[in-house]
Amino acid sequence: MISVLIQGCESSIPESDPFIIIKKGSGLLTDGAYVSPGGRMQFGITATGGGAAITDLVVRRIADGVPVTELDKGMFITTGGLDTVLTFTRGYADVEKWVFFIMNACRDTTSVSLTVLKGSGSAYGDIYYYPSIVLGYQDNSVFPQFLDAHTGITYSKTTVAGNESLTDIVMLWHVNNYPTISCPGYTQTQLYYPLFSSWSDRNTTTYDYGTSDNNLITVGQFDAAENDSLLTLGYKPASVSGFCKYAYTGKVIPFKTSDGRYGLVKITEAGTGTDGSAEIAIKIQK
Amino acid sequence: MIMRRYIIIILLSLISSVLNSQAVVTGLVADSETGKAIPDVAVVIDSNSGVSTASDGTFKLNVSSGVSHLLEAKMVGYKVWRDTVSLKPSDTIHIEVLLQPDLVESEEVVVSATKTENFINAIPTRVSIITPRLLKAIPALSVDDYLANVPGLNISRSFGIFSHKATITMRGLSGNEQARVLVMIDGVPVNKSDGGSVNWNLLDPDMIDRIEVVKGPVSSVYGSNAMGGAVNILTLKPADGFSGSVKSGYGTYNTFTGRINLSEKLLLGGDRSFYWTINGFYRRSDGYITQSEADQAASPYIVPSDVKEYSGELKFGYSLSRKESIDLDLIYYDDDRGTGEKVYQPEGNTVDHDTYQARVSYRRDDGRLTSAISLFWLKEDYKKVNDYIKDDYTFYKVFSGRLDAGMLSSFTYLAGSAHKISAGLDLKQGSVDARDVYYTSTDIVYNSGKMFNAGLFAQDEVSLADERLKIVMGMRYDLALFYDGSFTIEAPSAETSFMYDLQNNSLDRVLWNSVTPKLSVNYTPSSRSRIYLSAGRGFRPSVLDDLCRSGRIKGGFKLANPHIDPEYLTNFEVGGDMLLSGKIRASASLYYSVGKDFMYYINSGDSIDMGFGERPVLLRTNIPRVDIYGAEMEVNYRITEKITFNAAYSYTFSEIISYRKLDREDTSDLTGNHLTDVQASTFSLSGRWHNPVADLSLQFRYHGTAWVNDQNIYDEIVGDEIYPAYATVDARVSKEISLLRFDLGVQNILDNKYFDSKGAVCPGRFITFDVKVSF
Repeated sequence: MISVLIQGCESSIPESDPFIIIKKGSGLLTDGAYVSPGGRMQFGITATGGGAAITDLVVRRIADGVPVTELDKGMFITTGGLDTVLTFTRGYADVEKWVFFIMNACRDTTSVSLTVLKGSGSAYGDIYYYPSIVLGYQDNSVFPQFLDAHTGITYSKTTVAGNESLTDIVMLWHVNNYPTISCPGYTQTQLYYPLFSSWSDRNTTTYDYGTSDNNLITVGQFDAAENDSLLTLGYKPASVSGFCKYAYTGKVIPFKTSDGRYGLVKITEAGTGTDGSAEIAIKIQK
Repeated sequence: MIMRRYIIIILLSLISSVLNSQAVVTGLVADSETGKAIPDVAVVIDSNSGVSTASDGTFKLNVSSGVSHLLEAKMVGYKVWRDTVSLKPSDTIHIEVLLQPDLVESEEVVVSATKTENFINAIPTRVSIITPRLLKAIPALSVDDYLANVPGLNISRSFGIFSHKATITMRGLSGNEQARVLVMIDGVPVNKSDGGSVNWNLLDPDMIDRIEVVKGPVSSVYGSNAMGGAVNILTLKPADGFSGSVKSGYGTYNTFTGRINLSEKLLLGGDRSFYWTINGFYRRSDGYITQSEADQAASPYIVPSDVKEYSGELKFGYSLSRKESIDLDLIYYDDDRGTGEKVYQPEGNTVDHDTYQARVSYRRDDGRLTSAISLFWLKEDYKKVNDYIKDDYTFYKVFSGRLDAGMLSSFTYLAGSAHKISAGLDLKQGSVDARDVYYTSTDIVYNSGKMFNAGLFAQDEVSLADERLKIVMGMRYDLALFYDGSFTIEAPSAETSFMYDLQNNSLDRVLWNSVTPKLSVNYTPSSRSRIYLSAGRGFRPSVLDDLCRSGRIKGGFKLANPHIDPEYLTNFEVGGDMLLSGKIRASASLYYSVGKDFMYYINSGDSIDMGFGERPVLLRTNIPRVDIYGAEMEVNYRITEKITFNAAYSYTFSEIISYRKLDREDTSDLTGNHLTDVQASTFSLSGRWHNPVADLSLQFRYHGTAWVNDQNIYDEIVGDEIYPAYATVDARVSKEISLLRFDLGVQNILDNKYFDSKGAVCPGRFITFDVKVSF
């Protein structure tokens, strides 16, 4: 048993197949529930690897017959299994089927699904808008480097002490000479901000690469957004989401914070050099 | 001691029937000028077995009685001594051998340059030999360490014994392309068709008898891979009777090494004999942290790169007569190397090779006609565990089954006294069957392909003017067929979906052929000098990895390209050797090579988003012309028979003369660039002192600058476009006391730190102490 847990699958056959269920409880969705478009959905998941480590959790939304991978997360959970609550936003389709899939270190898989029906009206919510925030790159001594995306408050390398857990976004000038938006939880960012290695709380913010270098969301759309519809629909989890992204002037980048809030960041102007800075605008779910 | 008795008792019953027919030859080998005894002289009987002289110059040989035997004494720096002996049963004779110094080493016999036996000064090409005496003086931790002092060779082994990959190239060819130099063990190729690489860890350094390095193209006899030259590692064969040794060592980073060797040669009467050898090798080390300080600061998952490896070898040989013999060699090797990062997996990131090699060689010498046929089979199961956190946790394994098997044949006929005509047919089948299996996502990426090679060669060695003029003319025709190539993905997630459209389960079948001629002339006006001229062409087709695998590489994304043409190297060379005084031998070579269709990664004009933004799609394809020229010089100075010095220098310069863009928008132009990862100049100075207290050797090496990348542009990790020069000093102290031998070896005494292109650091000073017990 122990050897299986530790080594994955090479020396033993796992005790049983992996197992996954959807939890019931306060605020958690059940099969056949109605949720209005834009409404927040919370799914409770409990899973075990069947004697081998759980290594992958995949969540797919199937709407109008089209599957979209909302989450594909690597992990290595050996003891206690997986017990988590996942938050997503309801889309416009009449019926959404949500599939929760896990794989263990033996590549054995199992899944469970439920159906969410469309509720009436719209539940798209309010947003915060911070039209002008200036963040310095790693060697900038004038502007602060760290941003709490929820409040728009910025912190310098000095004032961030005690506020580490509030920091969602940092900007840096990459060694390959381009402006980059990232977050404290991305290990590579420590090359630019060594102080992250001493932070006990390092938030991860994922940026949508699906929009990559194509301007799928225009500056005009960003400026016109008055609720979180564009924020949630603009984030395309079907494509790879990572913890850093090019941040050239004029780009609008969808993001999702570690507490599950969707947002958009507009790069108003990106400076150059390690001591440069960037002006950005943020819209984020309340 | 108990083991020794046990084995002897078992084997006594087998050999008792032949003991009565044996006779004994004892002797003493000494310098003809000084009269002093010479240790480590190879005393060979009938050209197929023998012993080395002890530290007092004595030797003892068991020989079959009733027939005459050819006895030879060979030592670097001395002319070969020969005599014929014929003994009656139970006879014991004593011979005193006086070796005459021959600082030109003109009577050193080499086999690798022409596939025939020739004295080194009669071969119209540059051959370097690592003799048994040198092998004992170099503090080698792996086989490739022995080659470090050979001028013109470029050795890449960033982490010493912790490197899972080492590369040896020569004469200016890029230092990261093992496929351009053919490597053989006892004449059998060990370059893998998948990537052209060689597992230099496969052989225990203690099991080597000598190494021959042939510089410049030898494709005219060996075909593919021998484009830049060839390295032939010749392994030890047992002496008559039973012998064995146990060796144990300890070194830096808590490195433990154990070796055992048992062998016996049985004389079966007449000219028949049988031998067996068992070799075992084990090494483990805690290792060290290779990553740069920046990487260490950025990741909490850095751990030392460690190693565990072991190997076993079984060899059998049977001589049906003095003319005919057959050898069987079986090798198994297994390693497990940590590569310096560990997140959740018990061993972290690791690389594991399970290698199996089998070789059967048959040789018959009928005087005028010599036949040699070998069958070989080399299988490597490679596994790489990737265990890291970047965005999310990622865990996947690479499994790659690599198989190379084939047949080599060579027939040499002495046509009169002037012509030695050789011909042969070689066949080789290589394949790779690989998959990347992800555990933190559903993906499995497959690639596979096969390569069939066939080559037919013919060569005439013409000796004229009382053998002072030798002309070697050779030509080989090769064909290479790539087939059954495929690249497919199963259940792609975001990890690999960007490659989904690149799938092809039936890559184009492609056939290439090549003609590689060579013409060379050697003139030996006297035993004190010689000069040679050589012109030859070498070639190699692509490796399977470039033909059938797409994937991430440094700087972009590599797209499989089954339509890469073979690359060629046409080489012109002049060289000579001279005995400047009775004690100084100097040699020099100059070469000029023109490379055609060298394989390079070139921007296709497309880009791909691999999950961290758009990156260029690079295609391995051909560039029209590369020019390379260089020089090698070496001086050996034997102050006394116990003190020798060697100095060697090499220089090389390469330049891309013509570059062909694949995409008009490609802003890069490699014209005028230089080949990478090869040091422009190297210099070494070494000395050996054989004295009553201990044998000492000291080596200084200067490693010149080298370009970091194909584009010759600034590398943000290295912090420059060139690697800086550095110097190392190695030493070895050895002492034999009766059956015990003690070795203290120190590599990189000055503890110089040098870095690779990832900013990873070398192991620095490495000290080993070994004790060997022979019986």
